[in-house]
Amino acid sequence: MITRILQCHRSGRGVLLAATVLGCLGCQQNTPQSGSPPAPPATTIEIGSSDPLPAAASKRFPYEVTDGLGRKVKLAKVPQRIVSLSPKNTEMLYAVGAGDQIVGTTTYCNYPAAALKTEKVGGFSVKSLSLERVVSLKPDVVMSVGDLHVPIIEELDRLGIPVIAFSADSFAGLYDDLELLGRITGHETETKALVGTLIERVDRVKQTAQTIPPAERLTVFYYVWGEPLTGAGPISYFGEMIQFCGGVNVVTDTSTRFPKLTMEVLVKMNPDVIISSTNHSDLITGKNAESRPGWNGLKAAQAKRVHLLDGGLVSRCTPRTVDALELMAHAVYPTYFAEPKTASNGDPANGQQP
Amino acid sequence: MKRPALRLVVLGIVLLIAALLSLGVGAVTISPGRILQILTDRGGNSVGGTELTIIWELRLPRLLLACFVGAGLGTAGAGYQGLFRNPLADPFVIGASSGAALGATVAIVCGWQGSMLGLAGIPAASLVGSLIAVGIVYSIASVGRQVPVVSLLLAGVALSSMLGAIVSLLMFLNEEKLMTIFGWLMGSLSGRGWATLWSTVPLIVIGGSILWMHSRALDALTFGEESAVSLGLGMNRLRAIIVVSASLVTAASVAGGGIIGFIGLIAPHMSRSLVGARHAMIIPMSGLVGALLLLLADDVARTIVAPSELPVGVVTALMGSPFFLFLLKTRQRELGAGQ
Repeated sequence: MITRILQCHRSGRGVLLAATVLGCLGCQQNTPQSGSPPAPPATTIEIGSSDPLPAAASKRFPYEVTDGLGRKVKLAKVPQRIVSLSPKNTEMLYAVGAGDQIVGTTTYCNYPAAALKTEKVGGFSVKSLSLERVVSLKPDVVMSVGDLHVPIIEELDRLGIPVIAFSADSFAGLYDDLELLGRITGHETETKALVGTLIERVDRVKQTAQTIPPAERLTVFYYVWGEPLTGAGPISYFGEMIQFCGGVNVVTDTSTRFPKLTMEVLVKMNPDVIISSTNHSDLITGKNAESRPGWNGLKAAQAKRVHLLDGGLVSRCTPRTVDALELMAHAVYPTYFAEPKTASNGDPANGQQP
Repeated sequence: MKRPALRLVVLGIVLLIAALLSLGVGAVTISPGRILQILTDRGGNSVGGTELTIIWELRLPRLLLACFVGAGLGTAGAGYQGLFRNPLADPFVIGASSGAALGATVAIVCGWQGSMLGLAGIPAASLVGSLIAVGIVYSIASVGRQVPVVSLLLAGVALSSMLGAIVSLLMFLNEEKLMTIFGWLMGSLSGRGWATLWSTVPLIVIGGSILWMHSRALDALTFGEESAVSLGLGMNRLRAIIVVSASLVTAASVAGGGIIGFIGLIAPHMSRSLVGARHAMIIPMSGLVGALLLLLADDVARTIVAPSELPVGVVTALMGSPFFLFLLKTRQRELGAGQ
């Protein structure tokens, strides 16, 4: 666990940004094992596709599932050739132990490191994805996201290739998606253990948050985007994170997950703490935060309470988002939440960001 | 003879009042009394910190920038319309906007954080891009020592579409930066502070003044290049001076507010209907009209979807075009004056 402090000396008005960064790459690769109850060792189950799957898993097939778009998708057998069209899906597949069944991912799928070695079928957007490349990989199933991928889902439907869309964007949705993935890929047992651990860790944060007296509650702004200024509303998983760790989200708009606002409004809200991530394209670095008019008038900037979470953990709703939650809790209330205990092995996944 | 000058003064006063009222308008409403208190009592303890920050750090610099960028686009438009003797000319007619767009897009894609003349990376890149594009158009259009007006316009159109294609390509290849690029291309005064103001205003004022000093020559051009030449004006030199100063003003305006359409086209036409055909009046009037239009457009942009805001370029196009069409229908003769 490394806490990186970026100090900016320009014109004597230093903005201190604590970039809290998780320094654990190795242990992250097996998120299932990073919790306390020992998850079944992944190797015994997922070696090669020739291994007989647990009877319970294959008995379910042919298996009909309802995906994130409400579509009914029928799978004839446990898929051994999976193409993932999003970094989130890829991470989740590895997390449930189905990494060996992946035959294709996108250029943005950079976690875990093994995903870098898989065949690439293009970028994340429909425009940059190569349908031909997807088809040539002869997938048993394609894992897409929701609305954004609708055009390619329609194409694949026409070609008779099953597509399952995963569009959940909340903690509850994450658990559901993981469990569905576990059932589909024949890794039900370890998925149950993984989800159990995640829920336990989230509950621990929530319980600690309940001990914070109302007088000590801090207002929090999650900075999603700078131009146009965009925050995270209560219905996004960022909003859930703020709520879980006992913060009061200054953004209350529930009409959209990421409401836009102006600097004037942010100055008026004047949050105690500002949280963002290290990999947003218009990152709050010391320099460009300072050049944003009004920034230095913010309570959070003056009190040096602007914290950056590792983008790899926080920018996709995956099992690692629970790591991000623990980091956020520590950043907002350092006296109530201990620094997350994760083994350190040098600089984190930062270098892998696209 | 006195009437145009009087109208200039009146519009100046209107602008001042509009600016003061605009200070109170926004996502957070502040009463006029409170504004006066904040403006006159800077750093005093009687004023709340939040409102102080909103007025001094956010609204005042932005409002002044709106006035100067609007004025810049207005005067540059008047200069180009005079030079090309074409009512369709605007500040972007010879490639300034597409050059600026490409410069800004490259800066966004590369994540360039440098600065120049006190401008942050993206505005600085747009300033440079804009000047380079105009320079290329000018050198392509020149034949020997002549720079035919038609060649300038054609080269401007052709280069603009090429640069536009490169911008589209860069947007396609960098989809994760799409929002940022798009936001910039639509023109916005959001997030601009004193630093932007200090680095763009001098260029706008200098370029605008040079244009104004050449009002007589622009008047002579109205009667055709032959008559201007017969008055003893060196055409090539005159054209170069006007193109350079108008482009400088345009580039600085674009660096300040992104690509804001329509102001540079309609302000000169409205000015002609107010003060007649003499450029000595048209140029300052275009500045005042442009300032007022952009100030009001920005007020709308800041308030209509509060707590969020619209890109001001969308407002100028959405409200400017119908307004212009209305003027065209009802006051065709005055608008045409000077052409």
